[in-house]
This record gives sequence, structure tokens and C-alpha cells, in this order.
Amino acid sequence: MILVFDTHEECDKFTKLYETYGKTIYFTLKRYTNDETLIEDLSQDIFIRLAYHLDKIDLNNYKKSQNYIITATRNYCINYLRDKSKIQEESFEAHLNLSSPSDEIVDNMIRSEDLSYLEKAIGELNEIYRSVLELRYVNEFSNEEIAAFLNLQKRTVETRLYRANLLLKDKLRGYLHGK
Amino acid sequence: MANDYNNEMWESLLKATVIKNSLNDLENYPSEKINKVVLPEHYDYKMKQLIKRLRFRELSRTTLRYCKKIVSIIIFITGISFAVLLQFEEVRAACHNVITSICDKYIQFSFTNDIAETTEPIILNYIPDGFRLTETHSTKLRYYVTYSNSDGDIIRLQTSSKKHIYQIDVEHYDLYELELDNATGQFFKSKDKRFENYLYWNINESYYILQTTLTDENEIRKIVENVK
Repeated sequence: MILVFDTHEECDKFTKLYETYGKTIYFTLKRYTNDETLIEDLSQDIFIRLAYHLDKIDLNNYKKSQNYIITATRNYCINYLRDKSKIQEESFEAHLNLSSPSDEIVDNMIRSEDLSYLEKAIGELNEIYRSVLELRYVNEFSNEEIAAFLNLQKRTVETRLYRANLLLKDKLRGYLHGK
Repeated sequence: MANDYNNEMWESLLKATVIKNSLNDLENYPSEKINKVVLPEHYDYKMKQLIKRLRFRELSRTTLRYCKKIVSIIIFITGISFAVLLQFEEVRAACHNVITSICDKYIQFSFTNDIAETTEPIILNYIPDGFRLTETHSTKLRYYVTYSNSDGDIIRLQTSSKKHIYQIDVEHYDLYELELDNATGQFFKSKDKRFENYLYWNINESYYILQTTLTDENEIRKIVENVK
């Protein structure tokens, strides 16, 4: 991946991004690994990848940008460590009743205006599914961008998003029936 | 329709919840701890090197972009100027000269044949009285000399280093051999006064033809034997 900035402004923004959020990225990575060399390599990768999405980062809004950067960093790191440890993706069908998702779930949530079950279900999701959801909704990446960011095939990202949706609906159905 | 609505609602709810979850995670992020983090020297150096490298690339790219623009403008202006200059005959002539000299230098090739420019002339040491030289002609392939007299008789001798094919109508000729000093000639003696006699002989790589209105063989032999 060869990164070249089109304008001087983009280059300045990138420098400012490091000056402002360098510590945040380091701190986030440190939570997952103590290997300083690995942290250096991952930081470089993350900064280069973030550079492709500079237009989505508003440096004037510290909180929002921090959330954006932490989410990207965390998910990149989780994905990297997971790849490195070669953990097999757990059998999806084993956990899931593959009946078509019921509209009852959505209706129920709208009626009750209660998203706590959905929050809980997201919290219980496997990291690989939560990563693609966060990159899609928090970082507003397209499927192609998620694939490029995590070094995955686009098809894998699409499958993970689809499975994440099915798993969430399945969990919600379980909560509702157990209420 | 209802299905689309449900899907959109699900998407919106999911997005809102994921963002909320993410913000909740961020709430737990200790800002003071982050601010207190001291980046390792090597880490900081490596990241600054990355920034430096990217700045250099950006600068190179910008420079290259401007160079391309400048070169394009120069080429465009040169093209226009050349088109204008071509309206003048002197410029066109100069261009023609340049193109010609380039062609001469790089495209044209010279070929020298191994055939002599002219054939060696022949000398007739004996010519019957009354004849005078009326024509000589020399080409790369042959040489001939013609003598004639006031009665309209001619003696024409041709020589060539290349073999030629002559077609003579035998109906009006008697063909026999004529012994010469150092060769044997083929003599085509005309039966009709309107046609000339031909004597053909060769010595080494030289081929000779004597074309004459004379009929006296001794006279002909004498002419031939005195050819040098």
C-alpha cells in the first residue's frame, strides 16, 4: 500500500492527526499487546490506513474523532491479533436457528423504545462481527473500505455483516421469548 | 413495502445502538491516563520518519505535477510557434534540408557495383581504304565503334564483357565457322544484300561481334585479326 497525498493540506492534516491522537492510538494498542515492536508496526499501518479516510476525520471535533480513531485502531488490532493466532471462525450454523428473521423483533423494539436488548446482544457478539459493525456504523466505511482496512476479501466482510445481523436477531428473539 | 420499512428501521436501530455502544466504551477511556502517556523515543522517531517520508512523497508528486504542466505548456507553445514559422518559405526550405540531411545520414545507403563505368575501348589497327570513323559508344556493358564509307558500307565492331544472345534469322543467312588467328568465329553470311553480315567470336571473357556490309571474308578476317 503506497500512500501519497494529493495536497499539502492533507499532509498537514495527517501530521496533526499524529500529534493529536498519537498517544490515543498507542494507549489503545497497549491494551491489547505489550510488544513494542508490534505496536510500532501496527501504529504505522493504522496511520496509513486512516490517511485514506482523512476526509471523514474532523480534527475540530476531538471527541468524535477520538471515537473514530479508537474504533478503527481497536478493530484493526483485534483483527490482526486474531489473524496471527489463526483462530478458526466458529461454526456459525451451530449457534443459529436459520429461520428468516421475524419482523416481530423490530416491531417490539420500536414499540418498547427499548434498545437495551440490542445493546446487550451487540456486546455478546463475537469480535469479528462487532468489528465490521463498528467500522460500518461508527467509521462509516463501505464494505470495500472495511475489506481494505482489515485486509479481508469484500465477500468476507459482506458475509460477516450478514451473519452479524442474523445473530443479533436470533439473540433478540431469544430475549423476547424468555421475557 | 412493509419489509423494506422494517429493514430500514432495523438498520437505523442497529446503527444507533452500535454508535451508542462505542461511545459507552469511550466513556471508560481514561483521558488523564492517555494524556500522561509518554511515547517511547523509538516509536516517536519511527512515526516522525513516516510523516517525513510521506511529506517528501507529497512534495515530489507536487513538483512532478507542476513539471508536467510546464512541459505541456512549452510543447504547446513550441508547436504553435512551429506551425506559424512553417508559413515562411525559408523555414520550410530549412526544414526540408534538415530532413534531407537526416535521410542522407541515417536512411540512405550507397551501393557501388562491381561493373566498370565504361568498357575498355577497342582499337582497329586495320580499316579498309575509304572508311572513316563515324561513331563510338561506350557503356558499362559494351563498347562499339562504327566506320563507314561514301558507298554506304559500314563496319561496326562491338565488344562486351557480358554474354549476349543475338537472334539472327537463318533463313537469310548462311552460317559457318571462320578460323581466326586465336579463335574460331561464327560467321553469319547474308544471302540478301539488304542485310549485314555478322561475325561472332570470343577471346577469354570478351565477346566480339563484327557487323559489316563487306562480303570479302579475307578482308573481314584481316580486320578482325588486327583488333586490339
